[in-house]
Amino acid sequence: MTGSRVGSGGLIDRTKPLSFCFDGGAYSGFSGDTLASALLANGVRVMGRSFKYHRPRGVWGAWFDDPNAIFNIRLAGDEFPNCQATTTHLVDGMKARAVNAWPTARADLKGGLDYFHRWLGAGFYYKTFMWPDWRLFEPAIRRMAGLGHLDRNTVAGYVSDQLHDTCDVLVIGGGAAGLTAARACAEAGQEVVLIDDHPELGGGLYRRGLAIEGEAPEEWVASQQKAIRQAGGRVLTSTTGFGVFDHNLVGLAEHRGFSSAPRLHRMRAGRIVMATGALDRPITFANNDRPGIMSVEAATEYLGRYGVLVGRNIALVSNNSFSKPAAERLRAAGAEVTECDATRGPIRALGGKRPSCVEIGGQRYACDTILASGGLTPVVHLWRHAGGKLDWRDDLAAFVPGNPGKSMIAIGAANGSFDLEDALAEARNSARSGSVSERRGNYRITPLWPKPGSKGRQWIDFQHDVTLKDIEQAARENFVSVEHLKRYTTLGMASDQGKTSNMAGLAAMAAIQGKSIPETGTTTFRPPFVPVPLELYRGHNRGQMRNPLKRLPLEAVHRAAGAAMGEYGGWLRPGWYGDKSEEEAIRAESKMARDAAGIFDSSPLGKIEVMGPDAEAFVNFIYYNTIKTLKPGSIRYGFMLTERGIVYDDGVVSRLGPDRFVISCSSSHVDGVNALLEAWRQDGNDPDRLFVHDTTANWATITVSGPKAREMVGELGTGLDFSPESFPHMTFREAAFQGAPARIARVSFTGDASYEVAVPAAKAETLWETLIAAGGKRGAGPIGLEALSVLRAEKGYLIVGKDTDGETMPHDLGFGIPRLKKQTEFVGDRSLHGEVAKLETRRQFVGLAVTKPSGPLPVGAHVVDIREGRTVSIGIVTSSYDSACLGEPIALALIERGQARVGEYVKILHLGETRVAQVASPCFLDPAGERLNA
Amino acid sequence: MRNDNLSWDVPIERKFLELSGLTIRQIRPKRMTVISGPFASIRKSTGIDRAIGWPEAPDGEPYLLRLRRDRVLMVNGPDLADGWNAELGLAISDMTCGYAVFEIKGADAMAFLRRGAGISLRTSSASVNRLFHGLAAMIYSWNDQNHFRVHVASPMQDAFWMLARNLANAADEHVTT
Repeated sequence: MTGSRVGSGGLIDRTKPLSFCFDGGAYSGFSGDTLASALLANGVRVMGRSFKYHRPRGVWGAWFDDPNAIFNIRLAGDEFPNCQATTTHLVDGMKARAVNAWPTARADLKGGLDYFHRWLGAGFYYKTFMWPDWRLFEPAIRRMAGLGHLDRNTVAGYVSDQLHDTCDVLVIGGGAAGLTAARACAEAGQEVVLIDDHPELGGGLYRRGLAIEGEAPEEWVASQQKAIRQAGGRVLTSTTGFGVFDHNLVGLAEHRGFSSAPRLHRMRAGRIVMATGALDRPITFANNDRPGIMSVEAATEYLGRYGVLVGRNIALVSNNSFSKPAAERLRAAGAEVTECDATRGPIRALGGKRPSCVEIGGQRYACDTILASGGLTPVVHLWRHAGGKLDWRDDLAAFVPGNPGKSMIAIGAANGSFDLEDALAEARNSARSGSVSERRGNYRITPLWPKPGSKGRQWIDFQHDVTLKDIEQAARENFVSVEHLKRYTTLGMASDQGKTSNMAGLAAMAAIQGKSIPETGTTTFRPPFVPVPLELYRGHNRGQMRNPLKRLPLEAVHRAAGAAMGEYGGWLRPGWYGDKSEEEAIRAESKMARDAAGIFDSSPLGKIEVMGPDAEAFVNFIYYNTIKTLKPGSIRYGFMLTERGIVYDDGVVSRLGPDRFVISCSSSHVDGVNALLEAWRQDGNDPDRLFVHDTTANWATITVSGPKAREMVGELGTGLDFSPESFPHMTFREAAFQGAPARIARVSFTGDASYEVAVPAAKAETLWETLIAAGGKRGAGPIGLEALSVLRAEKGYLIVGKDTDGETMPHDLGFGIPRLKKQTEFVGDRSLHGEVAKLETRRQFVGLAVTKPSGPLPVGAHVVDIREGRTVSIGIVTSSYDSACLGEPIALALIERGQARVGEYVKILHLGETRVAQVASPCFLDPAGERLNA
Repeated sequence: MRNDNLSWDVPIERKFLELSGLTIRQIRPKRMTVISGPFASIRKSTGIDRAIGWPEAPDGEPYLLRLRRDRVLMVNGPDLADGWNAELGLAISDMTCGYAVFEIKGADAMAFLRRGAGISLRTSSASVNRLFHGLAAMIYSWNDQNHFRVHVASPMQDAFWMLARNLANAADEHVTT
């Protein structure tokens, strides 16, 4: 191909020349050019290499359908990978490099791979590299695979803006049909948004080059656009509808300049009018992948939009009636065009990196460029995203949208109305009535599909080097379903996702099997319609906003006290305090809590209120343990189970009154428990007699735990009697703290006497300071979550999710009585009596005693046994700490028949090292509960 | 466990942001109360005749935000006793500290909201509950189409604020039409 710029015409701005580089060479273009059009205008033919054989490739298309010219582009120090040359508009100073080629696309060192093509057919790597071991070859193959490369540096400010939008009618495609439909809808009073992926509206009008309704294309487009805006319609150019999702949600990617991230519009449309046009499809013939062979549509597009004539001596090979006007347009621009009937016989292209002639039915036509058109294929991807069906039309030899619904219609070429007059009539009609009209149809085509068994290497998928022989081989190996064919050969898995290859591929498979094309079917169309940067989906969902943590009312206070903050169950909480090392701080804090008292921020603990006349029965049903006998002012520990009987949460239930309970679930489970309660509430309960309020965020809770705790809470001025007789373990009192309501629960997660004091969050700081002051006099102070974890493990208190797994049932944890005795039904009841629940080999919760010199056991280590000569895992270490209070390491574990093994020695295996531990009760501290009840 | 102090911004007390066309600031209602039950009982209990949805605006204070069929958030209303009101069949919980409230004001206010929520003045909803960039939020109008209020759960107020700072800059750019 010897491309050149014609003297006039096109939409480019010839007053604005731009410089750029490609594969090291310096070139120039104009504002409005794409990289591909500028390179063609500079006479560049080879713009890429194919994926597998590294065959030289020129451009096939002029817009999103081109699979060949893919560049890494550097601009102002930033690298942008895998940019399509045909859709990337030229920016001054761009440095582009073809991907998958080195040193250049024209002289690629790996081009020699093509000589080995006989051994590199479909699925070769599945068969060739199995012996002696795939992993020997994998690194080298992976290095060769893939296109482009990622720069390690990120582009500053490359953040996708995202917004939600709505409209009555979204018209996708700003060609003649789309413009007409948008205008008609807007003038009918509907709120219209018209989008087009080009910077200019007009679609295929520029390649056609003829007047429309008496006006030149540019003038007609401008008058339509003006009318749309005057009627209140909105127009978004450089915007691609990349996917249609549930309930008419359309993803729009708005291009905002080369170095900027696109903007995502989540458009919720009342109705979608799809005017996405049609693509010229390739003809499958020998050597049809050579640079210099492109679609007829692309050639006229380069001429009409960019003022580029793609060749001087053109052979136009076609099987349809639309080629004649294209030939005339090219002739008018100065090319010699030979029109060739593609259906006359076998076709073969001759020449290397540029065609020298094309042979059809034995007759040769000299040329420097071959334009091919195998017929028009409507762009129906978005239709399929929306779940629409496709109908096969023999007269068009193409799939068209079927079963139009109320929410989405297709018009114009996208609907198979290839003639302009038909498309305009259809657009006007569809805008008014929502249905499409009958077409007259002047388009004529003689179907021309791949012929299995024909000679020469005939490309189906240009980028992935899938040839007709690969399709035949797949059929021989029984990969005949189009979905299997796709995955075995990688047909349609290139970056164009089969826009140029799918029709030929499935037609070939249909011919091999003796079926019709509609019988063979198509593969699935999925978003995105064109490649979009991952940044489009990310937007501001980055950094701390990727998974934002809940923050404590007292965070600033903890930081000021030197807390090391960390994530615990979705909250940012103090892990430990002070300047000491983590280990030293944890030991000091846990020892202080045992000797005097620890003060810790337990605000995230759930405070879910269940209220109403049916609250008692409901909570009793939700909990594994019996709650209905709980007296007001009392607290009970219990489990929530899944319907499979698995422990989902543990916590305490406080009864505030006859019809009011507070569920204090695990900090990380509040949202889940709240949702679970709401779900069960709606299952057979009277919604006016039972309500669930999650009030967790309203309250801050400070817990004081230890021998001095009673004295400290006594200084709060609540007027309560904290003596064990008046305020025993597992009871609850309502009081006031400095004029604010306070709830005080005597409940412990450490094994020592503990008081959880909850006040409205606005009072948190005052409460904290009061308790810190009270503690300071007694050798007590703040402790973090790490020390708390040690304290609870010393007492054998479990953490659900850490000391339990997805199979743990309450009787595995030593809580078997409700399973046997609870009279009323509860969630998970039935599953606790099934075969699985009764297995003798169930893993049970136990402690592990370890001798000090060997240190704590690793969490996650396996407890192993030798059975029939093999080492098998019979359990796992779930928690492990070096206890400062006990002076030795302790661990908790889930072990098969663990409760029956107490006293036995077991082997612990971790990363090849074996240790021995003694199975023990999980409660290492104060088994009689004297400290707890003190 | 690692020390993640530096991974998370220190919460700031004064949340105020002013750009051309957009002002965001935290406001502190005197009282917020969640009430669940039949609306006739809610009306009787609060003395307020209607609960607003989207895009309605309150007539003045106190006011009720409709959260769902049988639940409202009363803002700056009378002090009601927490718990179960057996006479009226209402569940009542003080949530004054449970929600952080932000005022979004200015010509770009709606553009700001549209960046986080599938929201439109043309599409009404009986409830003010929304997802704002993934955060549960109550969003409602305040007097006019350039003035809104957003309630988020207090533990997420810093996430909202961080998001607001990021989105406010984007909202300042006018969308090409």
